[in-house]
Amino acid sequence: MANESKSPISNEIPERFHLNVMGRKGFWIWLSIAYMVPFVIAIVLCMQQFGAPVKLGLDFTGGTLMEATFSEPVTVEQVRKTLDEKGVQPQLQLSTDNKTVMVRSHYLDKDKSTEVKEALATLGTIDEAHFRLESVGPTIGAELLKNAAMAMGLGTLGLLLYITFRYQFDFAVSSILAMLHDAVVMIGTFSILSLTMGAEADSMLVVALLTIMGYSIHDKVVIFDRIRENLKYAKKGDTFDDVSNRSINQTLGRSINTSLTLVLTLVPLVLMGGSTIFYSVLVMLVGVISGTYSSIFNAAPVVTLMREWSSKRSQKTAAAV
Amino acid sequence: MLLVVVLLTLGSMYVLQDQKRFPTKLGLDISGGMQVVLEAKDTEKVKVNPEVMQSIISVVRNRVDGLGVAEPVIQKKGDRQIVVELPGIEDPDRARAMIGKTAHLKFQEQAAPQAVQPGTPAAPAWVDTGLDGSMLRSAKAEPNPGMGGGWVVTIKFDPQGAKLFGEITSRNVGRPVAMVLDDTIISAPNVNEPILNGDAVISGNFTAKEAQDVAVQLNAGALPVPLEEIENRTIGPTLGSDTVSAAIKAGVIGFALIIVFMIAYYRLPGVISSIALGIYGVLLLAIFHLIPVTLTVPGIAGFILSIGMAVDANILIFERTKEELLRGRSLYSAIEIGFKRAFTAIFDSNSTTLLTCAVLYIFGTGLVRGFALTLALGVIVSLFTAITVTRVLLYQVLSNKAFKQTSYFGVKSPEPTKAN
Repeated sequence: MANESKSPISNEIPERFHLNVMGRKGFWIWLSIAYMVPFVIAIVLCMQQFGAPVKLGLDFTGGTLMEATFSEPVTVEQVRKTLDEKGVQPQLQLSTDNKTVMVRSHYLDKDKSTEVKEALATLGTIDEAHFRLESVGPTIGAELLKNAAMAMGLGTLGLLLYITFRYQFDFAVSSILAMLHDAVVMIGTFSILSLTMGAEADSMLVVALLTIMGYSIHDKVVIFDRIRENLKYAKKGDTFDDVSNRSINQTLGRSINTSLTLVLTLVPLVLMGGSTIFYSVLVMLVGVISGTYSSIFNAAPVVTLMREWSSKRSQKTAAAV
Repeated sequence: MLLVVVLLTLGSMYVLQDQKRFPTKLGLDISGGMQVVLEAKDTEKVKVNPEVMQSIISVVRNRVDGLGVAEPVIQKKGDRQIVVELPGIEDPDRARAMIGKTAHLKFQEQAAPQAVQPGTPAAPAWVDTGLDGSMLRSAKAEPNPGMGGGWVVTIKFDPQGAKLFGEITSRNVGRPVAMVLDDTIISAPNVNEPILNGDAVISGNFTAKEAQDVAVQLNAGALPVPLEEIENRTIGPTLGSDTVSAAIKAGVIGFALIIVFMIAYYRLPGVISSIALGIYGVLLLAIFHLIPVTLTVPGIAGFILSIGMAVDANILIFERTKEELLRGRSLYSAIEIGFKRAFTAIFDSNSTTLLTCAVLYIFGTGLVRGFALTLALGVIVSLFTAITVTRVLLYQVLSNKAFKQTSYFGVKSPEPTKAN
């Protein structure tokens, strides 16, 4: 020890707190799989009920939504009767003060929706400043879905290539797996919201998913960067697990603080950002937490497990030959 | 370098306060207004192709100009779609009915001058001639072959049209004949002589562009295709501003929370990164005004999220600096190494985010695209503020001896190194 105290700069940092992730890597991965179960169940239930992992809103399915605020209160029966005469059987939702009505129906073309608005205007004066119409033809929705799928596929491929190029292939596979885990958690969260509160997916949800998937990778890269650096300075006898453990702990403060700042910005948005982005921001919040978990507890363990698995396999083939 | 930072910040503030030259562009979901997507349909006579689309867009632009909306957006999307955005439109129902109509071109002549009472030279009314766009074969802009130079528009009629046009020009020599598209006169040249063969030349000292415009509009009338509305989003002006004020309030609170956290946890560097974050916000907003980027509710959400991500680079650097201090390095070398070692992580992690943004921008539409652009600009600006600005400010502050204490970095002053 006398040798070491000569230099004031030690290689080891006095650790405030040590988390032994790699010692129980199986446990952390199983834990992830375990808590994914309810999300997967929610997704399956949604598939049965809505034919998609989440309830798709009119951005995807096409359809018409009209929100009109009258100067005087109206009743659901009144509105239903008026629209029935026009041959439209919509879902109706009335605000608590009975003045704002939300009409949802299958896609109404230009003439039909103008007709419906005129019919509504017979019930009372419509406040144009608070009027909202969203009418999306069926082709547009299909296009959006196609573009989103394409963006997701190509984005993943790009990330795979980038991480392979900057790090190693198994790092890339592991971060993509961890990212998919986060995607399942986020989509599952939205499925639960669809089932319980009738949340409908819109293009904002696509944006939310893609952003957090990007962030999730960003988060893993930081840990991998540290592992790469520590591998350079590894002592003899250090296993990949030791190096990973050290790296995870060294970046732990950063991992937690960064997600904390993201949580700090997202929580006010969830609470007061307004109804149009509420569900998407909530999903982002869940995604940030899930992404932080998978960065700390899944990303590096999956790499080691893959290495162990492939070395076992090569040993087996070696034995066979 | 400090000077550059200060100048950039002041410049950005100047841009921000100059609403006249650099106005904030608000998306329809904030300002209220109408967005319509129109799709051109093939007819038996006409297949939609790029030239046809060009004609349709010019027709739609004419109609939109007639509505008197400030800053309308008319864009081609894909092969046969047109996106029309009308911010703050007063009468969306009328606009909706007008812009999606099929183009209608007709030729009109002036009613025979009646016995006008002396002193009241009433403008003669235009009346239909029975000749319309369906009998027009094509219109083309060409350089004037004769004397005088300039550009002319040549038009060709089919046999039926040629016959009618011959009759019209015969009885209107010396008087104008108007070409009217959707009730707007495109051109009303004087007839010099009867034109009987169906080939006419409109000369009127056109510039190349004017001649093109007339030709494109005549073609739109000659080859009418129906426009189908496939998407319409109309948002009342108050509805949008309610949402945005809520989002901005949420953003301000989030920003304040980050600053409180950063200062509480990282002390002196926390203060500095908060200043850098403030500069980040100002710079990014100024860039939004300069490009300009249209602000939408998802865009604002992206901006707020990018604040959280901008802090990440600072956290990486400060955590690393703290670590190096704990290892027993001196303050300066710890900061130096903190910046240096954190750089690869910052570079790689932000590259992945930029990569995602690029893919989203290329394949996304409308909303997704705007969001990707906002986030990408945010990442780029944050690299500058979190690394360069923070560093400059930190060294500036540290040149003052009073601040040179590791306890300001959230690390207890190391026990005096035991001399061996």
